[in-house]
Amino acid sequence: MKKILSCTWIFALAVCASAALHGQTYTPQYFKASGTPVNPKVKVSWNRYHTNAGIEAICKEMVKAYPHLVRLQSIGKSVGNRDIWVLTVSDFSKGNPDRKPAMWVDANIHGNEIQGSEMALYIAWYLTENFHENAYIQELLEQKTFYIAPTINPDGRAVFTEEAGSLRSGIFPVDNDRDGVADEDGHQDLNGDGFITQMRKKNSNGTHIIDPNYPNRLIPTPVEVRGQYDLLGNEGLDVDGDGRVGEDGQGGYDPNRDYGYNWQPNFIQSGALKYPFSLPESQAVNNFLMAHPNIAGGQYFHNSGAMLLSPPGSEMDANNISRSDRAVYDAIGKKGEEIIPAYRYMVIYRDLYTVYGGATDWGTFGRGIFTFSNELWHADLMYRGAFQGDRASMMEEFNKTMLLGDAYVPWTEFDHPVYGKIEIGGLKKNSPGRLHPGFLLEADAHRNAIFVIYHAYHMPQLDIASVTEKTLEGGYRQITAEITNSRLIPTHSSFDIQNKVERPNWISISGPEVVVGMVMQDVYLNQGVEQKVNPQKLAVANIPGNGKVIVRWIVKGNQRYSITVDSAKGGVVSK
Amino acid sequence: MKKLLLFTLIVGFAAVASAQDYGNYAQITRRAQALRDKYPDRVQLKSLGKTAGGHDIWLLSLGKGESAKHPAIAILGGVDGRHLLGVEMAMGIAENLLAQPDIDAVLAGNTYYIFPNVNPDATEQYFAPLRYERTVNARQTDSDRDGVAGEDPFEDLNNDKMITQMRVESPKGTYIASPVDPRILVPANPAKGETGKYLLLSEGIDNDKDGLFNEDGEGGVNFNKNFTFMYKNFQPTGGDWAVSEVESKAVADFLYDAYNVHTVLSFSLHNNLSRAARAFSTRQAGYGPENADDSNINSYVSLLYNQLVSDVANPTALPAEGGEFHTWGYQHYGRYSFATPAWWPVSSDRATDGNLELTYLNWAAANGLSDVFVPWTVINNHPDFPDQKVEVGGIKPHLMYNPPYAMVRELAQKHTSFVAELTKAAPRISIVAFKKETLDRNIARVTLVIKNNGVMPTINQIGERSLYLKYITTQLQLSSSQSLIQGNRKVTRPVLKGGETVEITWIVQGSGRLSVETGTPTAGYASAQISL
Repeated sequence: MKKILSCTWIFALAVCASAALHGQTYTPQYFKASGTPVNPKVKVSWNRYHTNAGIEAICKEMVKAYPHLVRLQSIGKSVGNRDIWVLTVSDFSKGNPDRKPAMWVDANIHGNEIQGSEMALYIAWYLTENFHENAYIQELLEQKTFYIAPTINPDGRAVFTEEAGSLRSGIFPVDNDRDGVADEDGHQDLNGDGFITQMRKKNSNGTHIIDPNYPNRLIPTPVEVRGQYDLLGNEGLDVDGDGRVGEDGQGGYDPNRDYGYNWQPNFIQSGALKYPFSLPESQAVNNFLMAHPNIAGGQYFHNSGAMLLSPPGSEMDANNISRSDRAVYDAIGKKGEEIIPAYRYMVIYRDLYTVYGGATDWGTFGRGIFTFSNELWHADLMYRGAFQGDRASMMEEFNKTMLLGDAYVPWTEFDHPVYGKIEIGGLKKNSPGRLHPGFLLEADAHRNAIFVIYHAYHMPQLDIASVTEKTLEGGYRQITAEITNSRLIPTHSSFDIQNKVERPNWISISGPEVVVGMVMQDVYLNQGVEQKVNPQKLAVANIPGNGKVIVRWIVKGNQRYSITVDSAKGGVVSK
Repeated sequence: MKKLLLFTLIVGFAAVASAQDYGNYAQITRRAQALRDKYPDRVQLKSLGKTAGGHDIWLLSLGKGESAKHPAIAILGGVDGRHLLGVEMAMGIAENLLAQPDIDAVLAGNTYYIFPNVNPDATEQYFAPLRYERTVNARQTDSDRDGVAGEDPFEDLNNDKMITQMRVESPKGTYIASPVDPRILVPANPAKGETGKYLLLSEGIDNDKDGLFNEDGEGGVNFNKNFTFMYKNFQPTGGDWAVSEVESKAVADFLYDAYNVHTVLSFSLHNNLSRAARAFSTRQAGYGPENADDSNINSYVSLLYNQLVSDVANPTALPAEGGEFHTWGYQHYGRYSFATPAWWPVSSDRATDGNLELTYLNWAAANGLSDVFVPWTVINNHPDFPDQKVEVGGIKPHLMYNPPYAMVRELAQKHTSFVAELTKAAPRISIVAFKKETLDRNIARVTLVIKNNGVMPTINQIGERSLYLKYITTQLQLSSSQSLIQGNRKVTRPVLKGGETVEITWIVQGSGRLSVETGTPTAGYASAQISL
């Protein structure tokens, strides 16, 4: 310890010396704020959003700065041939990261829901930058792995962050108006200001008037006055000449209806495409999930509404979350409400709406993962207590007072080929309607990262807690092992056990010849279930959260032995 | 050259005439290639992908001109891997259609997409050294989901190169010998005071000792369990998710992009042709209320089938269990979808009703077929039943679903006639009138009347709701000297029922030629011109 200290001291001296050599005096510039790295190797301003290039640069800098903690891989290409990146974060010096219980985090599946990417990156950044001085993180990354996909819809992100538009989907062409031509009549940035906003036309009998309190906003014309404007919808032309504006733009589907559990076609589940995993993005994600059966927890970042959404997506599966699994969700979800103010723990189908073929249901039922989808950002984060019951006015006041008007594009005149003289303007796509304003982004990112970390901590932690031996008559030994799981999440959900989604846990003994092997129901009353074939490798359906499993073997002779627990989601432990 | 052609024709004919048994993958491939070579201007042959077993999934497209804009019927064989007959039907229909004298007139307005075999990995088991009724492709899966793949295959215990059944005399038995034909086992019926004598299993050993016999052998996923309607994850041979396989993806991808397909005809062990199926709307968990208009179309098509192919209204056919291709064809894909086994055994004895094995043996006897049954023979020292009487025997694989090859030719001809009649029922857009009424100098009211001349609607009741079926699009081609005073240059209309007309009017200012094109891929296109 002393040696390390003196080393550090010498290193610091050397830095000072070299600074002095260059004719400078060394003055510390920073003083640590609690919980945040004081001088991170990877500099990121968590008060702005990133393009795909920005995300890639941060990922690569993290790998360069912490190669023993971070890996980066492309898991496939999008429709627009952009890489889908996944960061693997774990302590690579302590075991194979692909055999540790792992947390999957993806974001930005909806192209316009961009802040999830920054929040996902923050998790990796926070874990790596704090690793060397935080014992909790050291233990966490020794035991667990994080797979983080900052954006699984880079095409949608590119449209949002590099073009004028805003897409919920990606850019796979869909013929939304069913005229045989796809994507031929989308909204356009007519005035070239970088935002697709609204069109209005002066009309003294119009449907709308300027809001006297917030003049950027139009409100419906009250009965007692004459109107001022007609609202003409978002900027666009009737390109295909069918009498409708912007009815078949780029994309026009929902990537979060493209997953393989309880998938339904577009006339039942709007936004669905041909069949599950028909998009290259969801295929890439699923290939990764299938290749990583160690993923035991999952969070999916969306916006907005501050909801910590638990499965199922459809009432049809209401009974497929068992009481014991619901208790796990309740425990994690309620902790989340505490960690992130304004966020509420909910059930998708019951508290939001029904989703067929969603990513969370695929994770939950298709892969046996405990999942949450997080709807990031909420209007209540703007003002506490004020404006209750009038969120729309709160938004206007926030724009006026806190953003000094930055959320609006001022109305300007434009000559429209169809409508003639009109005005274009209105709310920007980055307004706090759905996206965090810069100054509130880092705080919410931190809280959501802590929620992910809490969820990850509670993935199965297996241990061979005790091994006892008893000598039986005739040179036999009875070996009893107690295998514990000291966290909330079981190795297998009830639905997983019923449907054999994942293979069972294998608890095996090597060394001596095994005569009998059994999983014990009650060790005191001698009740066990014998496994007739391969008794040395017992298949155990589940190791429950905060629970245990007891196995027993009768073996021949006095040979040394070792016991191994091999669990897809619980990792591997040996004794 | 002429001589060479003639020679090829003779050899080709001889090869077909001399065929004594169902065609294997290589033979079907050669027949498909021969069609392409013989009719290069009418036939395209394309591989839609390669299976895990290394077989191409062939697609024969029969068409002329802008074939993607002509109403199309898709025809599939091999939907059930046990059903060699289906492969012969699809291939035979392609050959017969092309040999018809009026084929050019038909292809001028119609297109056929023929998939001779969508599951070649499975059908090849008929020709393999060990023959068994296989439904799964060659992608190795862990069918019993125990973490070990392919550990419990069939075993040919009596060394006859076939997998049949295994019966075990056991106090746990639930089967008895049928009083109709004692070779066949039937469930003991407690309502008749019967108690079971036999366990009935597939021929083999329970290698993984999980109590299930031969549940995790070679392969694979069953094409006909891998589609999205009423699909259930984690079912044996169904795949981990719907449309997970090379075969199902290739077929679904092609069909979804083939906007002109109005009808899918698949050969499998399901039947909704000889007995018309009522059409029901689709709900998330299954079926909703009846789609009465589509039920009428089903009835009509069924009538055609029974006139041209079969007078047996109620053959023994498999019940749908979820994930089937033909139910997907209507409920999710949104096209008329018909399925037939093409042939089925018929029994003269009412006592065999509802039991395919008894029905088949009755039919086989009546038709003088011997050698259809492997007599029950004792297997000594079966490892799972060391002290019990174990016998192997049963109807030989594939026979119940595939008649003697001599019958195939006539069946293919009958089904070709059916396809030819079905083609005539297709929706077909025509222009009844395109006319002008001059309102003043250079202002005219222009009226277009279009009609669907077919029996079928341009899109069916499911298709009306699905994004993948196209509306009827009418496009007015205005010259630079013409402008619209009322109306839009593009007008879409969701659907025209069989025989229905619709009128569209515009007010146009200008002069010169004015042309219009209207149509939709399922019903073809028409155009007209007038002078303003």
